[in-house]
Amino acid sequence: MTHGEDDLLERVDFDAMPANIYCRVHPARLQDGTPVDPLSPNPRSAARMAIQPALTAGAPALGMFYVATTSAGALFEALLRNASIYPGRQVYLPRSKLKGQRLALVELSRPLEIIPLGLPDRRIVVPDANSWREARWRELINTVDHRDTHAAALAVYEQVRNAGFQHQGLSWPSIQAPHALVYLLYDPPFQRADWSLIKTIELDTAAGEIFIADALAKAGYAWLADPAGGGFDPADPAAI
Amino acid sequence: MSIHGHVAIMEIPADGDVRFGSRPLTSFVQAPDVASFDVARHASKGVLRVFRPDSDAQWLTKSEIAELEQLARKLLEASRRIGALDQLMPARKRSAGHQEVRYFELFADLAVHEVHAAEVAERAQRMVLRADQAGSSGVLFEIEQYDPSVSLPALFEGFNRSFRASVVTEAKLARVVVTAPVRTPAQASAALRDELLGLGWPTSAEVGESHGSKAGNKGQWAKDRRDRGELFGVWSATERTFRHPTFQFDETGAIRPLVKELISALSANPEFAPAADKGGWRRAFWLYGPTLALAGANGAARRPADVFVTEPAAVIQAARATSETGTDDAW
Repeated sequence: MTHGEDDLLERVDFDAMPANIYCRVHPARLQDGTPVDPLSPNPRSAARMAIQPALTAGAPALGMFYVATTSAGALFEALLRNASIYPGRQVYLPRSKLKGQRLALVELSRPLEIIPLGLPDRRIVVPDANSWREARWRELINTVDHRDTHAAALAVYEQVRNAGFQHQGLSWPSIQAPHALVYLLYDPPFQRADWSLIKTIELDTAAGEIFIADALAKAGYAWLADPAGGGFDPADPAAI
Repeated sequence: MSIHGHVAIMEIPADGDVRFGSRPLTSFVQAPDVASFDVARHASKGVLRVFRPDSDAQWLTKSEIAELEQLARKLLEASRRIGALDQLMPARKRSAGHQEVRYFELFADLAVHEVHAAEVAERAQRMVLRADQAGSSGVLFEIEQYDPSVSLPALFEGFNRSFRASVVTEAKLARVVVTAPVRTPAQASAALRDELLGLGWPTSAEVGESHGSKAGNKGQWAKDRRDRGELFGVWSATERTFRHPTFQFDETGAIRPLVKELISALSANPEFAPAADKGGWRRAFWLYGPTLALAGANGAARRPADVFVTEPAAVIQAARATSETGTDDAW
């Protein structure tokens, strides 16, 4: 491999992604207007650990399917990554970022084998806590610049495949949402039939605002209302 | 490494009263060898501290305290079994006056492993998740030993005694339970607006005066600049005037040259356009909220208003990015 990320896994081994209910944030439509299937991967993803030729030369064309174990985890991973976080864990997001966004509750019907990148399970694949691999993985699962992760994602993909295994996906802990775990599944070998859609929440509605406020409250965050209208704006446009 | 949040702590001394507290996860990274509570305990032989991830550093809820008690009970029951205790190595020799701080995790009620201090923060974040999913969790705990001559079994006997006493006097726990202030999103936004207004930004009249305005209405100078997109202000409803965030002004009080470009970049987002943000508060909330979009070299979130003073181009770029939608970087 020539990506400068050789052998990021000291050992190729797997952990179970349990059959469970997960949360996925996705746009309702693509920019060309095509509706998005909540149960289909995104082949254009450029998010953390994504693999596609447009991101890394020589990469296979894969789809990416990101889910999290909590609503807050999914929101932080997708929409709130660059939100303004005030002291007291108060979250402000320009509401245009919610436009057309959905949160889908999706259920996985069978356990999958994935590579765990968060502690303590990372010890399965990186047993040496003092190794360069350990330091690199900490960077990869924490960096705010996803471009820094794409070559590493491809290198791991090749390492797993060269060891004779399918590379189904990865998991890591959410940086900002306590207790949430994020999973990334690659397509292939992603199987849409393993998943079913339970419910979709429209995030750009009044009900969506309430849902977000509740989800963040469970994670210890306060959602700030849109500061416009009422006592925020002058009634008289000529106000000095 | 970006670690956020806190751990809630139940502290059980070998001889004394149980108490509860909280510690930022970042402190485990920055000062891994420092005990979780910095309190002199001349009379105590040692202290056991049981951790669980905390939803907020400001208070411990009843359910969090109940969960800490459950975790402590699980750990102390396991400690009675020889298998669990035998795996705890004896304290290392230290010079007088220096206590030993070490971290451990109890797995599946059977095995105890020592945890490197630098890993405690990440392990704490994972702990509750494992409990939720697998039905059995690890227990992360800290032992601070003051008297190395006391054996671990003897220490744990003391922890058990103190724990039982705390359960008997459970009513005392009410003192440490602080109810979360209930604020709706609207109330929280109003409070944040008032907090920002409390920073004392200059009014329209004050800006006019400092720029030598000769107009009869001293506030007109600032209004004209706002209307031309050269100055940014926020509406103070109680004072019936606009106030102007100070990051826009240099040391001499002059408006910084790139403020107009910043306001223009923000206007690329329709909700930040002056017509949609008449009071300026949407833009103010963005300008004064720490964001990872402008993370510093250490990975910490920074406030656009602060960064603008030294790196205006970066803030202008981040302002433009607020108008981007449908990015594949997010999903």
